[in-house]
Amino acid sequence: MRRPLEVRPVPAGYRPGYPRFVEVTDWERLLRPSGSLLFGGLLGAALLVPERAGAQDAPPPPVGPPLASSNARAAAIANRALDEVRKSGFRYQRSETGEEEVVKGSPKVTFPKIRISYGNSYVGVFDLARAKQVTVELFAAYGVRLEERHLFKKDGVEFEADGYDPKRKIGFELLGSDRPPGGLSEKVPPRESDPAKLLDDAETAKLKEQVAAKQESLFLAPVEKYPNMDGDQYTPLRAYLKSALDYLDWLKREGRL
Amino acid sequence: MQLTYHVTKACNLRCHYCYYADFAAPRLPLDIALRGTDQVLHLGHPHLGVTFFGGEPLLAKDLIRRLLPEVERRAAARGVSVNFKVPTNGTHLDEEFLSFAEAHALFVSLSIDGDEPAHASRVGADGGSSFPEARRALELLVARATSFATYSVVTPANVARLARSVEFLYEAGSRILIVALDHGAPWTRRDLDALGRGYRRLGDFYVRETIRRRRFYLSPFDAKILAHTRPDPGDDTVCRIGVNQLSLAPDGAWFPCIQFVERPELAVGHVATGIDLARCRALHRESAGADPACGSCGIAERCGHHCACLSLQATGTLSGVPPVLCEHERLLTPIADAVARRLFRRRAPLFVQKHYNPHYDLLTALEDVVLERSESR
Repeated sequence: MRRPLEVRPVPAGYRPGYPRFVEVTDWERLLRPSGSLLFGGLLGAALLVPERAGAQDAPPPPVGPPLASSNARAAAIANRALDEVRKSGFRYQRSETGEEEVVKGSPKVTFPKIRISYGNSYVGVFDLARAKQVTVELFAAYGVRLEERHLFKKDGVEFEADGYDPKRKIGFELLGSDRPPGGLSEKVPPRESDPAKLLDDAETAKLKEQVAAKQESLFLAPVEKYPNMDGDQYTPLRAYLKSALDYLDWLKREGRL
Repeated sequence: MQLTYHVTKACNLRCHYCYYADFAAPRLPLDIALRGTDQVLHLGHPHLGVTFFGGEPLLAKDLIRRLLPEVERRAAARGVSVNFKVPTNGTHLDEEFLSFAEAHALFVSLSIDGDEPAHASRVGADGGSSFPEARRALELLVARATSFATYSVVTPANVARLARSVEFLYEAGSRILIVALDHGAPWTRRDLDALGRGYRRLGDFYVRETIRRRRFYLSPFDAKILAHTRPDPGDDTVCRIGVNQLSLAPDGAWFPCIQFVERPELAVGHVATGIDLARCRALHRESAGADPACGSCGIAERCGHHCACLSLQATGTLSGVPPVLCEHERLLTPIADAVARRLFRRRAPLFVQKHYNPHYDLLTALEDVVLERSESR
């Protein structure tokens, strides 16, 4: 009689015998254009250029050109942060971006639009801590030294700003980052429970009014626009940093920097 | 977040392996569907993958036609991106519905088990074969030149025809071929031997067609290979009950998985009272346990043992590992890896592009456009 079916582990040393995506180092050789219709054509070659160039110099971002800014140092900071994330894992190639007005009169905020595939949902991870840290560095590149987690108080608005210079009234806040959407996941960032630090809906509306009236120069980006599920860390961060650079460039053009 | 509307429980077929026990015909009322939509959108996820499920969902075409645009509108109003999918047995698929599907980017997945003998389990209420209608639907989809998938179930009864069936569907024009095991069937070791022979022959097919640079997606091979070549994408890329999927039953009850709608004790709320997040988390915790044997397993990261509905179906618990699933993973993974090794060693261009080129999706989409234009001239 033959054995019944059973649960039995495969030996831990099992190796598939071909590399993981992240283990391949010689991209130029591996991905050299082949003879199929487009893969061998000019377009295929052109699309592979960033990867090929990356084999020689500092690798540029693979999704779109490097972020640009009138402040070369700020652009370098943003692109360096993206390059660090690029090495960390998966990117979804069908991502697009959209724009939305968050504060009247301020530049629109760019956000990613990542399509979901049934049963195969590659969406993004937005690294809140990294985003905040890089934003502080971007402001510094423009000569603004921000106080992190500053307790902002003005005209009935009281909350802990992610970064703020009280003298120049310049800073930024990732709206909703103190109470991120929980969804069904257990892996949600901690929520702020101190009401003095929490920015509620009414305060958010008032804060936007203050910014729209140019009483304050705050870069406001809603966290809910940056997907937080799995996989792609690059795309949401790129969209966010583009917005931050756009805002700072605009602030400079406005003569407030 | 994946949201499934069980638009109807009615079905005109009586497939031998179907887990539904009750084919009564309640339909999901539009107002309940929309209340459920709002509750899911309120959770704050920026992306929604929507499936219209059944019974046979195309028995409720009129509901889909009214519900889909409204979901699009409500999602857009909240800045949520959404895409749609509908599986069907093909018996009610027609040109008019395909036009609607194309207009709304509704992805159609046709349930067809292969050639006529392989499809014998999919029978009508009168016991007659549904193959002629499934084949007609396949021809309709191929003629539309639209993207679609075929979904085939492998059972002990048709396992001997596995490779022939996939080749039949491929030759008929299917390029996204999903082959899934009926884990609830009484598999024997002899059946699994036959499955292994089928997979090895399919492996040869995969190698041959990849070398010929024919683009296709064949699950489980591509899924298994991608599970290795892609970096670990984290816990949420697979279905996890209580975390990233919800199913709305026709009576308005929420369930954490498509297959749980027949189990009222596993409901996680109702549109009248909302989604019970605490219950979702409790079920997720219950399903997250693993068999101790899996701890040291060399393919645990690529294994399908996380599927709670399979566990429930085969073991009666949410976390138990069905022996047939484990046997299947141990059988399939080395065969898929052998295929991948053969193709990687010869640097088969399409294999390399598919599994290692970050621009593969874009390139294939462009290739489609160019081919379409050249064929239309």
